[in-house]
Amino acid sequence: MKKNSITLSDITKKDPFKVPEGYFESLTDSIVSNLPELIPEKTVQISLWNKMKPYIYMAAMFAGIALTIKVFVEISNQSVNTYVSKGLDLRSSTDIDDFYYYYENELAKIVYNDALDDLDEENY
Amino acid sequence: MNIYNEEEILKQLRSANPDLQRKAFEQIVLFYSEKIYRQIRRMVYSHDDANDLTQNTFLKAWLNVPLFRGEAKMSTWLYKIALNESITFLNKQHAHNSISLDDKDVFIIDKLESDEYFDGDDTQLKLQKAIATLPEKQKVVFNLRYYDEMPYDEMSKILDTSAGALKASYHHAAKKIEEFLNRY
Repeated sequence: MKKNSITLSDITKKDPFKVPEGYFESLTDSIVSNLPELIPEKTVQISLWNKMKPYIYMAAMFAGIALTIKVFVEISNQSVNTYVSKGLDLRSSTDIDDFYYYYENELAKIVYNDALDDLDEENY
Repeated sequence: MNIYNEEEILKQLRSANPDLQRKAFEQIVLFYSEKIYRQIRRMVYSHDDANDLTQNTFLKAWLNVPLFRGEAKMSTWLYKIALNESITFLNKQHAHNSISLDDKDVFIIDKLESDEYFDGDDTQLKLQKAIATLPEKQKVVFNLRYYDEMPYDEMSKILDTSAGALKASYHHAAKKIEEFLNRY
C-alpha cells in the first residue's frame, strides 16, 4: 500500500447520524401507543369424528385388504381342492404343469374372466 | 431504572394475558428501539425514512408475537425484521426513482449533504459514500461489524450465513472502502 494511504483505523469511529432532541423517548412512546390489540388465536374445536377419521379410514383399508386376501385364498383352496378331488397325482413335472394350467384357468374364470383367458392363450 | 431481563420478558410475552404481553413488549421497545433505529438509519440514511421503518419493524414484531417461540434471541429476531424492512424499502426506492446501481452512491450523498441530521465532516461523508458503493448485504455486514462491533456468531444468526463467510465479507468490504478512500 502506498505511503500516506488512508485506512479505516485512521478515521474516528463515530455515528455521524444525528436525531432530533428527545427523539428516542418520543419514538418509544409513539411505537407503544400505536400497537393494536392482539387478536387472540381462535382455538379450533375438532370433533370426535374428525379426530378419529384417519384411524377409521386406516382400519377400513386394512379390513378391505384382509377380506380380499381371504377371498383370494379361499378361491385358491377351492381350485386346489377341486383339482385334488379329481384324483390327480402331482408327482411328475407333467402333472405339475397340468395342475398349474388347470389352476390358472379356474382362477381366471372366477376372478378375471375374459382378461386372464386371453393371457393364458398367449402363454400356452 | 428497570433492568432488562429477557428471559422473564419472553415468558410474559408468551403468556395468554394480553396486558402482560403488552407490558413485556413495551420493555422490548424501550431496550431495542435506539439500536434498531441506528441500524436502519445506516441503511437508508434519511431520518424520516428510518423513523417510519423502525415503527414498522416493531409493529411487525408485535403482530407476530404469537408466532415467536423464543428459539432465537429477541435482538436477532428484531434485526432480521429491520433488515428485511430496510432492503425492501431500498429496492422500492431504487425502482421508483429509476436509479442504476452506478448512480446509487451519488444519490445517497446528495441525500446526506442535504440532511440536516447528518453530523459528519468530509471524511465521514467520504466514508458513507464508500459504504454506499458496497452491495446491500456487504453493507449490512460492514455496518454491523464496524459500528455495532457485533460478533460474527450473532451476525450469522441474523443473516443466515456462516461466520467464516461473514468474516471474509467484512474484510472484502473494508478493503473496498479503503481503496475508495484513497482513490477519491
